[in-house]
Amino acid sequence: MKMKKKMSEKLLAAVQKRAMARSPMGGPLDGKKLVWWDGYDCMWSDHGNCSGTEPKWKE
Amino acid sequence: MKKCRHFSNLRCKYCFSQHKEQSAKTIMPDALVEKLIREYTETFDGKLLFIWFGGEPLLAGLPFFEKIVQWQRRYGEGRMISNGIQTNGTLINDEWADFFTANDFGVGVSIDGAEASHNAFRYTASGKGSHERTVSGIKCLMRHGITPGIIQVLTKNSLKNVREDFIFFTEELGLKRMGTNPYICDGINIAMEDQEITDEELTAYFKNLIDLWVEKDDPNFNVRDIENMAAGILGRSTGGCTYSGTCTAYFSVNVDGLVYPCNRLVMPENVFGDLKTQHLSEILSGEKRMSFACRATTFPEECNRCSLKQACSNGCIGQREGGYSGRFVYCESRKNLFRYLKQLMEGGDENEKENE
Repeated sequence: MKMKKKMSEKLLAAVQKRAMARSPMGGPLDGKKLVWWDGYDCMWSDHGNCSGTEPKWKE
Repeated sequence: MKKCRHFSNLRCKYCFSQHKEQSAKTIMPDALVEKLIREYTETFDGKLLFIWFGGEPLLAGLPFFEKIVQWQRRYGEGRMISNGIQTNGTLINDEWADFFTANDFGVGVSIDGAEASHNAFRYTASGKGSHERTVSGIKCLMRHGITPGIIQVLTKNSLKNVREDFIFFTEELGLKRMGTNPYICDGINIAMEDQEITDEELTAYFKNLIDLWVEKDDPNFNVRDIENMAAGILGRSTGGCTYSGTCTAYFSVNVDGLVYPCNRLVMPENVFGDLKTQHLSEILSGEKRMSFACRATTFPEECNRCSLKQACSNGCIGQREGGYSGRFVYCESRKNLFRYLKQLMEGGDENEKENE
């Protein structure tokens, strides 16, 4: 007997919601943009202030 | 980003600083930290983000971080400034937790899992396992309303503990956010070479982890790689540095003022400049940084034919075969896991398993 393993609707909805809150996948980086860090060596608590952080170079 | 370099109260056996002098008190001088904060605010508009790590950053002491917050307020008045700190958790007490809460610091703790995984390699200076002290730190944070994210280093030893460690994180500690870094010795810590994770092992591990995450069915529990892959599948920014190629957008300031692309790429050939003698904007707009960005975003030809190119970005630049423009060592794992998760999200059939 086989059991189909799948995500629950609530789990799928949650991960979709978080994904869609991110910006659209962009083009190549120009090396002059800083983005928020969810990086390889660092992982902190959900931190609203970090999300979407995109400091821009001053003109 | 700012480092305390190799200075740590732990002697983790797999650490790439393991062969360095980890007892030497190397902390960035106040004048340099102040200059960094001032010039960072001068250089960029918008929200600013600082990440503090080491070694063990808490060894710098609370007064050090209190000064940082004061300088940030002075030079970044009216700006939104965020701070994150990555710690081994062993020194966290009520005083630290109060400080993090009061100043809205995001806290990441390095813990490899339950005791068997963690104490295999994460030792105190006296050679004892550090698990109990790290857990004590996490519990202290949680008493103060901070639920830290955690980073787990995955070794061959801990591969078999995936379920036990996941249950430990989610049920015993009640955490909500985790990331996993596969151990690669990078030719630095040769004694630990046998603990390196292969492409196949990483695939198997993450498939297990994804299954556990689905089984757990907690919409509020985030696994970094699942979140990044799901975003990529849905055409959104993958965010995490090893997926989005954004390592070219960060910089790391070492305790001596030398500026590098990343904590993982602190090598003489990667120095962008010296904060002691140059303005930060001069360093970040310099030829060395632009040259690095160019190498980091030059992918092997097979990436150009890969449908995951934008979602994967050829992985971590520090983990590419034969140099920064080489192929990501976990390329096949990426392909397999994106496929696996996509099918799960779409309710596909490949995930059918024998029901015993």
